[in-house]
Amino acid sequence: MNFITELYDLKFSSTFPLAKMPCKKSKEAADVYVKKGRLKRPKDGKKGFFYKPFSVISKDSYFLEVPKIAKFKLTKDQIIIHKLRGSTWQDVFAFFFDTVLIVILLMNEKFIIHASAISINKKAYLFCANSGGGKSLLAANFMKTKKAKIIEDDKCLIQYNTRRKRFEIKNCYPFMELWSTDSKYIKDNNKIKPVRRIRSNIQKIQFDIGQVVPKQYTPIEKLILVQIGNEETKVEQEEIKGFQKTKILLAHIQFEYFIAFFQKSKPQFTFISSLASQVSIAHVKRSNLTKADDFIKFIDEELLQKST
Amino acid sequence: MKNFYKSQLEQQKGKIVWMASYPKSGNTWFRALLSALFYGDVDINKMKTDGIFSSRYLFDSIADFDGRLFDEEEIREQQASIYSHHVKFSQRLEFTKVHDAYILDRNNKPIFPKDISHKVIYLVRNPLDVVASFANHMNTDIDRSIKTMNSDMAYLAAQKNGLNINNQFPQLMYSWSGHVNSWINQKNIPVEIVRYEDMKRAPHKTFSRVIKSLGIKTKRTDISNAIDKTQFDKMQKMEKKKGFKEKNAASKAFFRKGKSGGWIDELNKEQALQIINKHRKTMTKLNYKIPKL
Repeated sequence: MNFITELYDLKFSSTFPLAKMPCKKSKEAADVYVKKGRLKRPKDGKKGFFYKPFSVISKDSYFLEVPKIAKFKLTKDQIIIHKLRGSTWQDVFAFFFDTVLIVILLMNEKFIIHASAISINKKAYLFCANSGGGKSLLAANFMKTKKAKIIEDDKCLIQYNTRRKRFEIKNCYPFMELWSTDSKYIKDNNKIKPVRRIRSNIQKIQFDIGQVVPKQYTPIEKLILVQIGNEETKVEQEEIKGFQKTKILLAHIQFEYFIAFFQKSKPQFTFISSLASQVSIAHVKRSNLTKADDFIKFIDEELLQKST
Repeated sequence: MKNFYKSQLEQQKGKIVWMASYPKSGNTWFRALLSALFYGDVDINKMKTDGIFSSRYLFDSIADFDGRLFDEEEIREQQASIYSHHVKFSQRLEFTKVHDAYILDRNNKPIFPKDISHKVIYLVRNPLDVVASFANHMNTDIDRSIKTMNSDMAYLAAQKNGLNINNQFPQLMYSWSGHVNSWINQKNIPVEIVRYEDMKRAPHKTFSRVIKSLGIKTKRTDISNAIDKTQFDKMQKMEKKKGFKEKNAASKAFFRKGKSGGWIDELNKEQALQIINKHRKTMTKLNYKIPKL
C-alpha cells in the first residue's frame, strides 16, 4: 500500500506522505512514483545534457541538487529524493513543491501558469506575474475587500472543458503560501488556518485554503498579466492583441525554458495559443516604485469592477 | 556597440569587472560613462552595463529554485557558483554593479570568485558628502544616515524581520570605512580606486586612466563625448523627464546635487564630527582632507 496524492491532475504514489498533502492509502496505479534513494550528479560532458551549477537537464531526465538540503532525480514517471544529512523533510518539501513538482508536471505536458486565481461571482480572474510581482498580494487583498474566493495561490493548471467549450480552473494545491508581511490580509478569515512555515528559517507561512476554495471548476473570465519594469510609478494598462497574447502567456509558463529540452514545445504552443484566442487578457505594467495600495486600486477599478 | 570596443570587450569574455562602491559614490555616473563610451549615447533607464550583483532574478534563473526560500547565509554560499556559471555564456567582458562589501561566506570563501574577476573598480566619495545624498536616497534624515554609515553591520535593502523577498538580496555593507577597506585590502582581485572628486575635477584624465587599467584602448573623442553625455544636469533632466528605475521608491530624486564639498551646508558640526571620528583613518588613507571644525 502506498500513499496516493492527487496533484494538478496527476496521481502520485509514494512510500511516504508528501508533506501535509491530503492523501489516501491504496495499491492503485499512479502517473508518478516517488521514492527515496541515493543520488549522484550526472558526470560532466555527457552528450545531450545541459549542466547548471545545481541542476542537469536532458531530454527525458532532470537532476537537481539543492545545496545541503536534497538531491532529486526526475524522469516522466518517477521522482527519487535523496535527503542530505542535516536537512529536514520540511526543507526538502519546500523545494519539492517549488521546483520539482513543476518540472515533473512539464514532463507530463501539464503546463502551469505562474499565477494566483480568485473567483468573483463564479468567474475566475488570474493574476499572472513573475516572483515578486504581487500575485499573492492581489489575491489575498481581494479575498478581504471584495469577498473573492481564492482558487489557487501561485501555480495554476488551466484546463479546457470540451463539453462546455471553455477554459476553466479548479484548485489543485490546497495551500496558500504568504510572506509574513502579506498574511495580515487573511488573518481575520477563520476558515483559513496557518499550517507552518515553509522552512524554519524563512518567513513564508503556509495556510490551508482547502475549506474556502470553490469545489467546482470555475470558468476563466480574465487573465491579468502584471509586469514590473515600467519606469513610471503609475500603473498602466496595455491592450494586447493577436499573437502578442500568445507570446506573453508563453513567458508566464513556469520554467518555460525547460520546455524545449523536454521537447514539449509543440503541445505547449497548441495549448497556449488556444487559451490566448479564447480568454481576455489585460497587460498591466507597474514599476518597483508603485505603491501597493495604488496598484491594488488600479486593478480593482480598471479591471475587476468593469468586468464584474 | 561600437565595433572598436566590441572586439576588445569580446576578447575578455568570461570575466567580470566589479563596479563596487558604497551607495551614492558615483557608481551610476560611472556606469553611464561606460554606456556612453561603448555605445555613443546613454539612457539612464537602459544602462548597457550588466546589472547588480545582488539581483535575485539572475540567481533564480540559474539556480532553478526560488532564492527567497534561502536565508542570507545560504544565498551567499551559492553566489560564486551562480556568477561562475553566468559568465560561461557571456559574449564579452561584463561590468557588474556591487554595493555589498567584499565578504566571505560562512565557509570563508569569497562571494566574488577570483577566477572570473577581471578587476574591481572601487568608486569612493568623501563620506561627509555621502551622508546627505545617502539620506535622500533612503528617504531618511542626516542622523539616521550617519548611524548607518557608522554601523559596522549596516545593510542595504535589508527587510524587517529577516524577510528576503525583494528583487535584490540584502547587501551587507559594514560601515563606510568597513566597506572601503574590505575592497581595497583584499588581495584576490586587482583594484583600481576612483575618487568621485577626481572624476568631478578631472573627468577626462580619471576616466581614461580607469579604462586603460582594464586593458581597453580608447579614442580621445569617445571619452570626451561620454563625459559630455553624462554631465550631471543632463542625467538630472533625464530623470525628471522619464524617471529613474534604480531610484529608491521612497526618495524624491536619485540625481540630487552631485556636488563635492556640499556637506558644509548640510551637516552641522556635531554631525560632521561623528563621521570624521569614525572614519578619520580611512579618509586619510584616501587623501581626503580632514576639516578643522
